[in-house]
Amino acid sequence: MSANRGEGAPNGVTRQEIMAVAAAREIRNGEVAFIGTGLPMVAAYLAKATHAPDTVLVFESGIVGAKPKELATGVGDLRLLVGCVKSTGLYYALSLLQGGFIDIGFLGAAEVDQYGNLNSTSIGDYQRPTVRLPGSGGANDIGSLAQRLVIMVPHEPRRLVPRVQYLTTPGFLDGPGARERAGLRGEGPTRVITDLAVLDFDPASKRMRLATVHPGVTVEAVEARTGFALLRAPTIGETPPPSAEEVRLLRERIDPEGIYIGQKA
Amino acid sequence: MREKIMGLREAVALIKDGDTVAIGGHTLRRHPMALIHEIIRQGRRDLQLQGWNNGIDMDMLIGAGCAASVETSYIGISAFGLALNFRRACERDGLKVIEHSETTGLDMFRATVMGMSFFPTKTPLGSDLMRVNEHLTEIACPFTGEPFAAVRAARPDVAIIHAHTADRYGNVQLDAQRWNDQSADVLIAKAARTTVASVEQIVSDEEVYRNSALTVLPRKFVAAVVEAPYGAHPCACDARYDYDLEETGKYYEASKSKGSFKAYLDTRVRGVADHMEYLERIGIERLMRLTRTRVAR
Repeated sequence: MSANRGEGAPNGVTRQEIMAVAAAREIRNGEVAFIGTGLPMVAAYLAKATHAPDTVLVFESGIVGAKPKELATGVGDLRLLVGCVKSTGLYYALSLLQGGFIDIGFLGAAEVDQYGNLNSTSIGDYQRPTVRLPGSGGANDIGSLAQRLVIMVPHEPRRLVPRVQYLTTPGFLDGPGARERAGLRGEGPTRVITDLAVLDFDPASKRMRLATVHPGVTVEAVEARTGFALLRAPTIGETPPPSAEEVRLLRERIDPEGIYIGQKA
Repeated sequence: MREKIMGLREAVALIKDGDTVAIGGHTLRRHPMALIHEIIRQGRRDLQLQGWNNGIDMDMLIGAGCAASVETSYIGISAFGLALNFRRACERDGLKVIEHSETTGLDMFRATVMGMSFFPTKTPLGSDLMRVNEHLTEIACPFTGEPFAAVRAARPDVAIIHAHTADRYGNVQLDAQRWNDQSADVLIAKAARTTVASVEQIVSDEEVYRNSALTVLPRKFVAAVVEAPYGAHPCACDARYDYDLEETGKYYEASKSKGSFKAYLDTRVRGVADHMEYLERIGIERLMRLTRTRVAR
């Protein structure tokens, strides 16, 4: 997301800050959240510091109920151990997913399609790709088994595509009922948070639709930056802007070096 | 009882060209880098690498020309970005990649450890992993008919892991602070025919008896123990030392081209006699700093 670093949105709030705040608001107090690195980590810390203090953070390295004081470089980082109630291993954490104990997970991807399927593996032919990406890691596990999935990506036509070139992580696959037929658990993707808008999925068709636009962004601008025909929710509102307190927490306490939220505008 | 302490050279000689080699660790944490450097020094070729979540470990072996294929869920250089040797090998040379989810990457070892020829799981259903990974296939639950993916058991020729301590007989322990017998390394080591464990420190027999709850691998599962302090560098080693992001950044820059990566290997690996000389090149000042900045004490 470094392409957007430092680009200021209205009122001096960065696009990353709007994304982090919108993502934090997806976490309900008391939920169990499976967290990776980057903006989701920032969002989860913010949720805990504001409306959802009882959120249980789970990291794939087997750290449960952490209250970290610092951001981490990776999910195996010992910084995540601070304040945890259980320190165990990988397959404990992954079994929590398969057992259905994880309420919400967050993922980014190189491509997201209109059914919320994600590609983090390869662009072009899998055997001889034009771009080889790192691969699933825990993405497939989270998308297949978390009760709800929140997707976070920069809003670009090459990223929001009609059909992923490689399906690393299931969203709604090819439409209504497909997850259930495949044998997957969980509701699937419920939100897509970009630097322009918040999107959700039409309950009938399971196709992505525009829910709210961020302050200062038009519906047309969002549609122009989307690589497929985006559905529109019956009413499209404005994403509630970050509060002064949320911005203060992000800048002063959670990411004071601006590693993930971008430069202070 | 047979003593299993070996030098780095002798232990790595247990690995043959063409072997399936499973590697422990996690993203930028506790990969057995001293062992990996020695594999490169000895010029092993055509290794079939396996793991569940990998980074600089596999990328370095790929860049050094040691790998014929990889089977894992992930190869990346954490916050720095893509693993560039891996990327080049896929895009230019068509390196064979068998992609897993993290769960199926563990389940292939778990199946072997539990004496099963496969392990049932949910994660990869409906995804392209089912299409490209010949070790995954769909099955129906015999009781309910519900779909599951079967993950074929993996039996690596050799496992290489880095742990905190071991005694001379090969009883391997992890520190209490980040102890876990649910670590992927334990499954990887138990699944392999031969396990080589490097450790930060060889400890006395009494030390193991006194803290026997910290033993993650009893000696039966371990063929060789190598004492390699800072043996995961530049990866973090739990509570013992932090990541060396300066060295990882240098690695990442060097891996941008084949030429600069060869030069990196000459300076850091091939042109270095052994692990102690490697540590000398990194320098005492930096190693101490990594130890001092360890976190979560």
